[in-house]
Amino acid sequence: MSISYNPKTTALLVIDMQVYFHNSSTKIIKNVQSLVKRCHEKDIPIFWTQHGHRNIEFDGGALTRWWETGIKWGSKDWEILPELKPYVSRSPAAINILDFIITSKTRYDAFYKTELNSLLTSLGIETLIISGVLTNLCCETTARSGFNQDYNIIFLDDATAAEDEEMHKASILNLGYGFAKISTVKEVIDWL
Amino acid sequence: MSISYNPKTTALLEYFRNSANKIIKNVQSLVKRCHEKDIPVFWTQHGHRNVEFDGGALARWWGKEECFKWGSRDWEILPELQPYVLRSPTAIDILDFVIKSKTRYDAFYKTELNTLLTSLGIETLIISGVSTNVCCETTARSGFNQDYNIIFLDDATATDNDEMHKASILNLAYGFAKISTVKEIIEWL
Repeated sequence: MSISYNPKTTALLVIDMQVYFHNSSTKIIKNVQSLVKRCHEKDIPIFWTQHGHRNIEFDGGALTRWWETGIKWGSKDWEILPELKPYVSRSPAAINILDFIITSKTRYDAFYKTELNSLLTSLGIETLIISGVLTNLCCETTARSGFNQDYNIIFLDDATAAEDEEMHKASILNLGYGFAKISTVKEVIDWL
Repeated sequence: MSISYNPKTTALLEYFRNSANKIIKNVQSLVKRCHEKDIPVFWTQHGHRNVEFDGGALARWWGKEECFKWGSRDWEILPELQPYVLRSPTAIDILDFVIKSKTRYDAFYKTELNTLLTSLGIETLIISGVSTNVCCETTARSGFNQDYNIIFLDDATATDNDEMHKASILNLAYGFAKISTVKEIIEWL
């Protein structure tokens, strides 16, 4: 099974691997570490997202109505998981350093009202590799949104996680049908 | 659940005849009820005027030949539903709108849908039509991003197989939408 996209115009999204989601994230941490390491070796841009609300009254919207809570921007829960922090090579402004952190995310969709699409366009990115949590919420919504905007989507079965196996499988089924090449960390590492 | 209006978004085209058949009667009942209660109804007609230009990832995924052409036979709203559509080309007081600018799964993407909903003061959307896991679900998720309350109809959406339909319902119920039935909504409206 081969991936027919061009690795040179590919970026990795590592979605919401934050302390707040610690429980769901543990099973995929090692895979994400391997993936990030490989992307750095191959100069593949990495976009880490940190979901957080600076002012929930204003930026919570339907999300905080639904969950009746939200991650506070700057809080301990908002931090990237300690196992992954050493892997983040920060890029505040300089476009030649290949890791970016999107801290403007306030909905499931990592594109919605963030700078993600602008940055991807400026780098000439055509294909996105999606990893992180939660499979069926932020990862899937971002994948669908990316597809609307004409990115090729590679969705990682073993580098995304949901609260339970049933929901994870449900996402994989639907994304595989209409949106994304479903792949594994091993396959992508070989391909890059 | 507090509401002002409840528009519904439908994408039932001839192209989707196979999936659509099982829900046609339910959609008819629902539309009839919405008209009785002055609930705005938004019909979407997905179509490509120039697939080289507006096909995007959709045309790449399914193939250009599969992207049905704006104005073609496949593009037509199902004959069983055409009599139920009260067209509104511009007048904002007639409550049916037909969105023909849809070129992706997301009915909001590059269409006038959000603008019209906002102008009507809509807070809640009822989602019906096809296909459950592609256009309906993507539109529901997109609507949720934009802070609409979402009601998603289990028995007025349909897709290629039951497994995918159930998978969508499972995920939408978890993070996005009140899952409901035509009967429940008709009573509530």
